[in-house]
Amino acid sequence: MAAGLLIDDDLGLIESVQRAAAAAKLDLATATTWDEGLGLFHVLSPNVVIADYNMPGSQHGLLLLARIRRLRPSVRLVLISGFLEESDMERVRALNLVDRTLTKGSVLESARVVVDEVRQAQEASLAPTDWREVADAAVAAAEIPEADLTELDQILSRKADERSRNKAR
Amino acid sequence: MSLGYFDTSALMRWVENDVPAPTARNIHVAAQVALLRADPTATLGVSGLTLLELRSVICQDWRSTHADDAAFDADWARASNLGVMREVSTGRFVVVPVPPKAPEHAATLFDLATSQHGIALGAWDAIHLITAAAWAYREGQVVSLYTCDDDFQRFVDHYGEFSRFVRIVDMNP
Repeated sequence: MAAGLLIDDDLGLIESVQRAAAAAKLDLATATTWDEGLGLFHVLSPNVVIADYNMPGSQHGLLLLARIRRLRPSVRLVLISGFLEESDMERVRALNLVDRTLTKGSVLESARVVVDEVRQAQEASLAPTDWREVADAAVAAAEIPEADLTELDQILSRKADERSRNKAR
Repeated sequence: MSLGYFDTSALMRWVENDVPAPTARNIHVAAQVALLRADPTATLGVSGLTLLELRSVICQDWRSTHADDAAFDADWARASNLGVMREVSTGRFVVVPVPPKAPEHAATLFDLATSQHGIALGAWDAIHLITAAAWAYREGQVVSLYTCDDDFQRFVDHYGEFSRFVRIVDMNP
C-alpha cells in the first residue's frame, strides 16, 4: 500500500514530489481533489496524508482532515498551505488535529519536506500495527473540541472563499 | 496475465465439492475454480488469511453433526487441506502478503460501511479486500476477487474507488 498520500492541486508540486519519490523508491499516491484523496485514503490507508487546505472538492481542508483523523486516528496528518497565515496555522496546531503545518515556499523546498515525510512513513508502514499507539491516538482524537474545529473551519473557509473571489476578479 | 485472488468462501465451496453427493452450488463453484486453475494466463493468489480461515472452516465442517455434513469426515478434511497445500506448494496458488497495517485499515472500512450506509463488512472480509487491493496496487493491474460472499460487491458499490483496484466476481450460481 502507499506509504504516503499527497492531496494538492498544485501540479508543479505534485510532479516534483513524484519525481523525487520515484528516485528514492518511495511509495506515494497523489490526488488533485479532496474527493479523490478521500477515496484513495479509503483504499490505500497511507501512513501519512499531506493535504493542501484550499482544494477543489466538497469541503475545505479542516473538516476533511478531521474525517480522516476519526477514521484512522494514528495517521500522520500534514496540512500544507500557500495562503493560510502563520496565525491561522497556529490556531490549527492548537486544535491538535494535525501533526504538522507547512507553509508553502518554493516548489523545491516544499517537495523536499513532503518527500522526507513520505520516507519516514514508508519506514513506519513496514511495522505491524502498534495497538497501544492506536489507542493513544484514538483518545487524543476524541478530545479535539468539535465546536472549536467547526468555528475555525468556518473562519478559514470564509478567508479561502474571499481569496478565490478576489482572484477571480 | 490476469490476477485472481480467492477469499475463503470461494475455496471452501471448491473443497466441499469433493464428496460423493455435492450440492449444486458447490458443483457450480468448483467448476469455475477448476477453469481458473486450468487457465495458464491466470495468476491465482490466496493469502495467509485465506489458508487459515479455510483450515478453520474445514474443521468446522468436520465437527458438524448435521446429517447433510456427514461426508465431511477426517479423510475429507485431510484431503482438503492437502489439496490446498499442494496448490501452494506447486506455486499454482501464490501467497499474497497481508499488508502489515491491514487490521487497522480494516477497522476504518467496516466503521465506514456501517456509519455511512448501514451495511456489513466483516473483519476478515475487509482484510481480504485490502490484501487484494494492495496486490493490485503493487502490480499496477486490477485483481479479480473471487468470492461467494455478496458483502464485497455491496461494499464496492458504495465505495467505487475500490473498483480501480479490485473487481468482485461472485461465483455463486
